[in-house]
Amino acid sequence: MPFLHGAPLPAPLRQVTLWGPEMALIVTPIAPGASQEPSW
Amino acid sequence: MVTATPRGAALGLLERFALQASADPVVSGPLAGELGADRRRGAAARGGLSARGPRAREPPGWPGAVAPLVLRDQDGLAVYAFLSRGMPGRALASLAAALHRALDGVVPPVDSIALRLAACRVLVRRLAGPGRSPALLVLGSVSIDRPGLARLELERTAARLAAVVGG
Repeated sequence: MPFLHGAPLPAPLRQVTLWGPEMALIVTPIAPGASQEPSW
Repeated sequence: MVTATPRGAALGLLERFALQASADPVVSGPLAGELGADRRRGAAARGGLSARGPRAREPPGWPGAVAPLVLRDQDGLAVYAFLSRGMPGRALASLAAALHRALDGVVPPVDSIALRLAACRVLVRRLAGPGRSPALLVLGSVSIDRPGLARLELERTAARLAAVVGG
């Protein structure tokens, strides 16, 4: 899986959390084959 | 999938919910072996990161044993990494530097970044300080279960390290 400079990631990236002064943002890749529609 | 939450929320729980909702099949699986030896050392070295002194000490209170590594790239960005043994230090430092540059200056600002790579967590934070050359702190471990506490430890370690290296 390439990253920003085209080099492969050292391991599968499962989640990224960005912490800011007031909030956090959790970014989670959708697994291949999984439904992208919410279940609710 | 993107989940936003105010600071202070139950971040670990939200991260697990997000993993489950994304149908990740390995939410609780033991994957510590997936991060093996640094096979990318040559590629990372070609990216310009090279080892430099002084040797850093392991941060007190950090879960599990870690190995210190200090690198600097061709643009002068220093990376102080404390990683569980066996984690690919140069590749992770290179990734941290790339993420730092990509997110530098975004609004709202990003103080720090947490990555789940297989079963490992890697935390990245800029070492602040007026007039100092840019530097990053990278902490990585396979035994981080509580991201909120890990962030506190990241902040403490960054403050101690900045004092030592002139932040």
